[in-house]
Amino acid sequence: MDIVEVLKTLSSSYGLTSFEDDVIKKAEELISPYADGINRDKAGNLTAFKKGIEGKNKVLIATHIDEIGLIVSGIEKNGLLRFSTVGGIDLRILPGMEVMVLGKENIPGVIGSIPPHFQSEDDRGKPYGREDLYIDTGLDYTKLKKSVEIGTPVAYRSRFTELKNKKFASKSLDNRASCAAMIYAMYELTKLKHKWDVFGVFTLQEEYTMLGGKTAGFNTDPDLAIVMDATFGLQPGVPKDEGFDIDSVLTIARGPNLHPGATRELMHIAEEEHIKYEIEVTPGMSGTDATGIQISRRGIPTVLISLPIRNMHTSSETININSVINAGKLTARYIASLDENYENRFE
Amino acid sequence: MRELIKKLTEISSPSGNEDDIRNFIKKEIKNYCDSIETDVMGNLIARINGKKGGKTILFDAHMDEIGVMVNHIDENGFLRFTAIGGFFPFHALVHRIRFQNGVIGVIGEEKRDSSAKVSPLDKLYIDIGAKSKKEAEKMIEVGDMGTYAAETIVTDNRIIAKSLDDRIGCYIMIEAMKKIKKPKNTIYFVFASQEEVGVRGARPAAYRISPDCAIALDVTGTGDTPESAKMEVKLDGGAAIKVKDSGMLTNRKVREKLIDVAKKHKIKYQLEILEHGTTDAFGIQITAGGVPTGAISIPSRYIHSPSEMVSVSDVKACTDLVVAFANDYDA
Amino acid sequence: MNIEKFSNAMGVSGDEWEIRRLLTEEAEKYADSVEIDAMGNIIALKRGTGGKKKLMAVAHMDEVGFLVTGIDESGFLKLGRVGGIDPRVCVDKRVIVGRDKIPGVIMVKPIHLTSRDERGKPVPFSSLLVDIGTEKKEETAKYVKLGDPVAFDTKFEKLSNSMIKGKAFDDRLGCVAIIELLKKRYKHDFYAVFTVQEEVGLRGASVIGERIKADYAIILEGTGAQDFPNKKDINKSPKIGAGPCVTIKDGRSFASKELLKLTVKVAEENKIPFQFKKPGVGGTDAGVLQISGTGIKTIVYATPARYIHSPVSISSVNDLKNKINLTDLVLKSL
Repeated sequence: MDIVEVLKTLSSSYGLTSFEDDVIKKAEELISPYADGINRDKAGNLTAFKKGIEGKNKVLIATHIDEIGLIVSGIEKNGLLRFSTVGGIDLRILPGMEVMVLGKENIPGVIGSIPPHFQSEDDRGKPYGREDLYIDTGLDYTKLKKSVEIGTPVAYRSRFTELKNKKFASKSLDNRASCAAMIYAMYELTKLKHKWDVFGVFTLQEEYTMLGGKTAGFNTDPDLAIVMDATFGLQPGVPKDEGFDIDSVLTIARGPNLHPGATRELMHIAEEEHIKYEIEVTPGMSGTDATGIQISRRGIPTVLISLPIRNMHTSSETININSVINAGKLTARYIASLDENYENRFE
Repeated sequence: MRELIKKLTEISSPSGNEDDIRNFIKKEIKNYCDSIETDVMGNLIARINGKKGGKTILFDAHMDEIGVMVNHIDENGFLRFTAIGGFFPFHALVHRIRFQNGVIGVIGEEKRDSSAKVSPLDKLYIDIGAKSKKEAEKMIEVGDMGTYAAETIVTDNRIIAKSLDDRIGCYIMIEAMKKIKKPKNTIYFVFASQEEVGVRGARPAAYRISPDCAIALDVTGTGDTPESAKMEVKLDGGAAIKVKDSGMLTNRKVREKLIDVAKKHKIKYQLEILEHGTTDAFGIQITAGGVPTGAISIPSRYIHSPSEMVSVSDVKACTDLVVAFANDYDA
Repeated sequence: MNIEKFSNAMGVSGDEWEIRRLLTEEAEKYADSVEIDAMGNIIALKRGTGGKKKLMAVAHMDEVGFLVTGIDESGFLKLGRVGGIDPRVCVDKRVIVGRDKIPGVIMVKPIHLTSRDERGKPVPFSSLLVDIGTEKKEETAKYVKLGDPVAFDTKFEKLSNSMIKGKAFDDRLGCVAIIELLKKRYKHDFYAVFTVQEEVGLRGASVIGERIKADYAIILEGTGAQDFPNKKDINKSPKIGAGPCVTIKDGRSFASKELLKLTVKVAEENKIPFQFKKPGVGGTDAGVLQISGTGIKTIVYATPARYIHSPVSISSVNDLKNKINLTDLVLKSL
């Protein structure tokens, strides 16, 4: 498996929260070789099923496939597009950004702003507000109206770049990197014997309502859930105990959203397999599907593996490819260790 | 139409005490559906049976309105209160409150700090004209609830009233029920309770019904008043088909079906993005294993005030869209 | 009624290990069956004598506290808050860390070395550090792991015949009440539920509705007493000593009208003192239980306690006894 190709395909595809169809199609193609069956559940989550030798218990792997972006909120008479945001977007990264307007066709655009010399001294010292920014496609109103309407999604334009030392920069590594890791895990599982049934789910809409996680938990009703998401990589400005080295570690989360017994087991497996990890403490909500999955249905013991990335929620998120491979390996080995003796224990 | 809208909006039924509005709606709809029941949460659920092989659709509008609850009667007979739902201080001052037992009060404020532009809720009180605590206690108890008291005005193209949020949604459902005859789909009309205090009624209702799709009917804002926040939705622009609000994004397939149906039946429509505010749709969408959910919104100015304003032609467009969707939907 | 051991037990939301063990042992003495679910909630069933309804009483076993979020070079612990704790009550308090209950101290700079400016502002939470006596990071790492829970170390004490002092009265007093109710048998099936993670978003209770389709649920809570001197003429309930606090409406739920009516009737007929909680304030497990599944009728009875969500609370045993009595009689009349 060429994991870099998988990561490139997934992160270059477009799939904003609630508009995930394109990337779902790609994900389905990529995961099918390693699954016994594929379907979409009532909420639209894509589920890849892999039968276990015993099949008495179920484990859910959840990775959200949606990305943050913008959405057209109005078309000005001069052809400029106004927008609203979908997910946590820092407005300060927008001026000068290249985007793709995903209308009836894909239309490239640029986020334009009023040039500084047209602003007052006061205003020049402040970041641009959402209502001061526009998407400029160079097209006129009539042309645009044929392809674009209120609600048309607009994504950061895709640009996948290889940096030194196995690092890659792209949009939406949060959370396509975890999706790639899940595909890698499913591939590893074809080589390992596993007793439990495995459900690898690409969940929808995590970045806005966590709809996918909550419903995937309900629909699958597993005995255990493994969530993979992105966490903060260390970079200037990120405090030492809030970020992690993107070159050497994964994180395993501890906190109320995670099951203490299952988390301990996961750490144990990581140590046995010599996969480096650090503990990521989440005293509040995890900010991931784990939060919704843990309390879906009758409650699901949940663990969270996170891949550190720099520049989160920008178009230049940066990751070390080893994070993807190691997360996939750890997930697969953890699943392979689950057997009929598994007990829901907190001690 | 005028009469029905007047009656619907002038009833005082705040979240948690929807008995009056429920009883009224029950009488209005009983001849237009195959079954009616009230569930544990106080939702009124009506059903029109469809044919074999048809889908199950849930339409939802909430019957409750924002209001106040008395939490203290002071030594001089003035009442202190807490908000029921989004009862905002910047609308409240000097407006009239009608308690459910009929008592009328006026909202007053303590002396304002010169720097504060609006008194917060805990610096307001309700004056029911009592001369003493003893007299007030004969009229009101701690825990009593009230709503704005305001006269409903219906002109050729405007309705001005309190609680158009969401009695206008209820009106639309009632009118739609009268027009839907022998549909292929089974249609549930949920007149939900307690939306304003956290989308509380709609969720258990959706859980029980487990429909193939759901459409919430509620008000949305407009961007057509002087120096307003930018929003494309405007009064008279037609039925607003929701794309996004602060609580959710609508299901793409359901939304596209609504647009197709509107185009096919030549119903005027507009697309809606609401930056602040959400509806029952948000709770219904994440119920159990997920429900494909959309929303038809009635554009409204001055939401959560005693003078909400909507367009008669928009209301008609919404009604037509509900009927057309109920008949045409086939997943 | 052994309030002491339950109040002293450790059980920060998300890792309720000690209180769960104690409650399970106690529940097993009186219940027909005891189960622990995926979240760690305890569900104890006492079968009825023939009734067809399902009754539930709920209290949460978790307490507010902290998690270790970092260990600095000197071996001191950095903390993250679990649940709503005012940072101003954290300074200069004793704590216990992890499963080994390692004693620690939240350090404060001596007053002599503070400036007037500093003393005019609260100590920022992010600057608080815990000293367990170790000398450097490597030594601390032998005893403490990132993510370990940290609880206030407050010892229970009787202040007088009726007044008690301790930590976590919100909601260990509710747990004590439920144990007392488990000793009885009712006409209908009675589920005694001890939930986890109430303080971090009513999370344990969120999954109970899928498992138990109850007809009625009485939530037994602890609530902040408001009986402080305050010149303003506003609602000052609940008061210590005035009996259990019945909720009409709080921030997350309305009381079921049927249960409210029944409560008042039973209390008045049996001369049990009670008070109404100031409407609009707070949130309890009732908020999620009421709208779970197809809906459950709920009501909340709370014992007033001063200074909840801080290291030390004060409450009245009489309020607790009256709450137990009221709940028992209401359950009998359903």
